[in-house]
Amino acid sequence: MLMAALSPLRQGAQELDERAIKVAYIFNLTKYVAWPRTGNQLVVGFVGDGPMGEALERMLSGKTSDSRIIRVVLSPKDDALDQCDVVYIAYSSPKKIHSTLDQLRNKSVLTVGDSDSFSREGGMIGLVRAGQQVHLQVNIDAVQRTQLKISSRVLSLATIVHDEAKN
Amino acid sequence: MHLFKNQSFAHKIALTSVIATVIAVCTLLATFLLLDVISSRRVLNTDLAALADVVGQTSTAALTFRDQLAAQEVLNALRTEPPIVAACLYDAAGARFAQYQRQPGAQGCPAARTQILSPTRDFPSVIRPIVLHDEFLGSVLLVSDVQELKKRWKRLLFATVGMLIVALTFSGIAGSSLQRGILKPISDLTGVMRNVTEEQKFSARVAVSGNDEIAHLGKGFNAMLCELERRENQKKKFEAQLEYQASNDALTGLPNRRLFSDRLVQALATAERVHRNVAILYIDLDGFKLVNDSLGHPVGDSLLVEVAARFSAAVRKSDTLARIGGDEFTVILTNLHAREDALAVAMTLVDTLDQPFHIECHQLTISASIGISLYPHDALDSAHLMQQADAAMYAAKRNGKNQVMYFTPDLGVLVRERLNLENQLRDALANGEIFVQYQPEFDVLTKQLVRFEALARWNHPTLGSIPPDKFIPVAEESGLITPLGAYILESACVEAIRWQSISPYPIQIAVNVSNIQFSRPTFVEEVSEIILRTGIDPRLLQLELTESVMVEGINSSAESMRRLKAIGVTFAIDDFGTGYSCLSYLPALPFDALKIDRSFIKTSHLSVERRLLVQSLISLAQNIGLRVIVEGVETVEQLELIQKLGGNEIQGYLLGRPTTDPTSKIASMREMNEPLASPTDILVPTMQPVS
Repeated sequence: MLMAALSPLRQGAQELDERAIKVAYIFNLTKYVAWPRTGNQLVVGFVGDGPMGEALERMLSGKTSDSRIIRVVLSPKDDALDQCDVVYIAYSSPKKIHSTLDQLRNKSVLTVGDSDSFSREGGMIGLVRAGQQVHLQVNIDAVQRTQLKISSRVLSLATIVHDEAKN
Repeated sequence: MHLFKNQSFAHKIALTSVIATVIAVCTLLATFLLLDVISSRRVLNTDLAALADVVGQTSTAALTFRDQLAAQEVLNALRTEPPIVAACLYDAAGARFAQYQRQPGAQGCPAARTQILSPTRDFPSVIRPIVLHDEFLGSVLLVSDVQELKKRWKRLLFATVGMLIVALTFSGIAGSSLQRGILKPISDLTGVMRNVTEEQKFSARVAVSGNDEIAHLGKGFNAMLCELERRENQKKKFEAQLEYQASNDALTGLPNRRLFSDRLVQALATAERVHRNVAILYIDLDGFKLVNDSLGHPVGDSLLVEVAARFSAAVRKSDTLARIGGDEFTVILTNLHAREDALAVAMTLVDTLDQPFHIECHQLTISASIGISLYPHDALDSAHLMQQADAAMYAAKRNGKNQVMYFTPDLGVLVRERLNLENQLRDALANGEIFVQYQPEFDVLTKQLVRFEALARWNHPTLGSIPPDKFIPVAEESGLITPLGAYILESACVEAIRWQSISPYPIQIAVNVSNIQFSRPTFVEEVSEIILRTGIDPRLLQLELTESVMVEGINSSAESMRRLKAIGVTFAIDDFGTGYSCLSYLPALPFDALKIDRSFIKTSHLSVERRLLVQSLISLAQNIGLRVIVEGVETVEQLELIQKLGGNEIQGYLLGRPTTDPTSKIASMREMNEPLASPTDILVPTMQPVS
């Protein structure tokens, strides 16, 4: 239904379709991730460029994942960033991505990005486009530095990557 | 139960044990198998459900992210679960999302969840929902088969059969050990028992081991056998003894009549086969009865033993010498070459008796009469041969004794006569064939008739007159002598009473009494009773006894005589000088007279010695107060001699033969106006008639 509504333009539709898939992935992921702090809200933050933030807000706000109500915060302030449960990082500049990741380093915030090298460069979940499909990449090192637990069932679907050796 | 009826105990136990084992094991195993089938199905279903849940949980992410590849991988992991033949994942909408088949083309899953069929017997299946955080993600269907279960049941079945075989083996071992423990001893017992009954082998024993009931039974059985054996041995001993006694004469140890008959039959059978002659010697001792009567049975028995010993020494070992009766012996002579051989043996036997026998203080001379019959010359069977030998012996005896005679056919009558004598004697008394003759006795000096001697006669309807020396012994042997003696005594008394009325003076009656009669304890009473019944004056009655009364207990004889003498009866010793008399006994018995046997004056011209002997005898008797009566006076010379020697009374054919009509004799004497004097008065003028 979500996808059918976004199908008029072929190119645009394809992009829309891809965004919807990514949003659905993020939504589904929340079901397989256990956070150390729980509450009745699940905060999904968005930083970066592009239409992905607007798609998140539109499709996820108010939805319930594992009895938590999802709230989408677009471009939160730096001090609010680590209050999010999920942060979607969509900077086109790798520098900005790195600074955001550094800021959230060791924090129990699930970092999601869609660049090909996102997970290798310290992001937790990479949603990488592979042909017609979106593929999950999980940087298990980044996850393990935090108190987050990602279900092995998701891990079995994903490609596991490790931090690139720095320097 | 019918199965069991005719089985031995061993089979029954074995069968029972096997059947019980089979039933027990089969019941156990059937229950076990059934329970296992039920529980293994239940376990399979539970396992399937659990596995489905695991698969479902594992597939949640794949379903969530609609990752069919991942779902397929999850399902493919079921390859390690052999019972799973097919597995499918359906998404929330019920469409088939992923599918696994163990074997392509085999059991699979329907394309939509709604098309899933309910589980079957052969393909148990389970369908479980996949839920994540209360959200229904889809369903998982697992289909299994029962191949693994069937394999397992098959293994169980094999194990069961194995167990059954093991159980049967054990029950067989247990049964056989039970059999060893119980049935072996019992069957041993049965075997021994059968042996004992079939073969009468009482020496058999059962092997006893242990201390159980069977052992007790065995011990009891052995004890019983022991007792049986003891009794059996005793019985055999007695039987052997009886057999010996039955076939041997106790006195001489010779075969008896029975064994003799057996041997004779055998000898004849053999002779028939080899065509040989057989002779039977029938031996009877002459005068043996006299020895027995006058010296007693112990002496007679000793004599028989001595005679048997001499005969035994004289015959060959192969010949059978037997004692078949009192003084009767028989010999079977086999393998005879000639008829004369039998005669030779018989003569040898007669000769063995030439030497006198010394028994106790007595010197005894005895002779034998022997009859011979020959097989096959005279007869072919033993009975006839025996009769013929007997008849020949009897003829020898009649011919003067101490002789041997062959059987000749004309002797046949004698055989039958002797055989039947006893039976006929019985009838003779009843039929009145027995009658009494009277022979007169005269006083030597007065020539007066002093008495008649009553003599028994038997007028046989077919055989004619039978002399007393033939039938009196038969009567004595058969016991008929008692009624016969009583009959003669009574007849004589009745007759004597008649004489008194026609005679001018009393005439006595002399009656012979057999020793057998006399030795009866009731003899005195029997005589007294006849005297009273007939009414005869006892003083007219003279009883004549033989010498043997001196042997058979002097005291009781004397007592009987005294009691009768007390009423007037007188006694004479009859036939004195024929037996083995002990003169010293004479005075001990209250005799009145002595009758000298006819043999003393037998020859017409007596030798000087014999004359002296008779003279001494007469004076001896007279010296102890006995009248002397001389028997057998047949010639005038004898009469004159007796007169010269001083005898008191005489009897004999010269003076009068025995008659059935003494009354007429008395009457005729009266008519001659003679005072009943001897008819020889005319011949003997020196004798003076009594006035």
